[in-house]
Amino acid sequence: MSKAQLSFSASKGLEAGKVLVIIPAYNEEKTIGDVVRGVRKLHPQFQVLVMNDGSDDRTRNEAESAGASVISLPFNTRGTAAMLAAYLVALEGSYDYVAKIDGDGQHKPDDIVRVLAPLYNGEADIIVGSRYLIDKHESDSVTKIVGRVFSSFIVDKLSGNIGISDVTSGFRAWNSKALRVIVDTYLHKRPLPNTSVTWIVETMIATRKGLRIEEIPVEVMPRVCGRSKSFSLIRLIAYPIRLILELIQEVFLRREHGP
Amino acid sequence: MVLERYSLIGILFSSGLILLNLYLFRKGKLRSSTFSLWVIIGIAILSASSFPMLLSLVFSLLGTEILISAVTASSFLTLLLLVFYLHYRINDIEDKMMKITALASLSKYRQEETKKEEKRVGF
Repeated sequence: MSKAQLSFSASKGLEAGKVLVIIPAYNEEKTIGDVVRGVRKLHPQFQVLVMNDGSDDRTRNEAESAGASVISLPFNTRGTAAMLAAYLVALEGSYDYVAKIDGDGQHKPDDIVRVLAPLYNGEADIIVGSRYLIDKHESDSVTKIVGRVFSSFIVDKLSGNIGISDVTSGFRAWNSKALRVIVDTYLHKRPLPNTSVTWIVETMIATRKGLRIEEIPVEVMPRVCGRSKSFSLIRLIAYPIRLILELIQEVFLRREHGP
Repeated sequence: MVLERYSLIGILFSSGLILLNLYLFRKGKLRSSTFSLWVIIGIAILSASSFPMLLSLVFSLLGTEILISAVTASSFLTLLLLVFYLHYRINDIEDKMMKITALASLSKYRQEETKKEEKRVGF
């Protein structure tokens, strides 16, 4: 099936289902409006939810005026509580599928349907949008490449060779089954992970629980303004240590609670 | 090498601290950052207790080569244990706070949506 056919068939089906698009945002007043408008223009049938993670600028107003529903957290939780709240909204609202894109404009709304397609077709429970599966992608710094290769390699080995190339990607989609498993784990079985390793821990939880993970190539645009909050020199040094410890803890918990 | 009694106390204390840390980490009760901090502290005490020469070297480098009294040592270890307990509790409370924040935000969102709906239907 060609890309165009895949997009078309999924889009037709997804109109009947209930899809929630989550956009976490922290001080993204300059970009959030355009991101929301972009999603709503292309996919008017999808519900758009902005998770305003304690921003102290006009992120909330910009998102609301662009037509999104907004949940505002009282302080910046660095994404963890914001994502948990978003998952809870999705489960409570009985959405069939949930897609998550960044609020900084790096993810293209055009890719949402392609990312949702394997979920709709029942081929996977979680989809990860990988920037490394397309031929033309923006060249990262050496440190980012090393970090990505290192984390993807370790997670891949610990998860039974699921063949994941971009484990830290924030462009993701879940079906309701996957969300129930993740929310149950966070609420009852383990502490919320550190924000820098959230996606890695979630991948480990998903494989432990037998959820199917697939990757879809997506294009990642350069940031329109500001700088990434994910990487700083201190975080870059602490990241490998934190990653290894989180993975060790996940392996311990796997033994503790079983699959 | 014959170990002094204070060295033995230090070794037992630090080993206990490391094991307790590991146990809580395994159970998912400690975050990785808290775990790494206390493992480093445990290893530092273990090294200083096993090789007192290291401690003497540090003291002489600092220019404060004063023998440590039993009162100071026991106070230090007790306080360290207390700080570890407080750190563990903060860690636990921080996680609970994040989860409560998520639930509270969801509840607030529901209220806002209900108000909007009521306004829309002219209730």
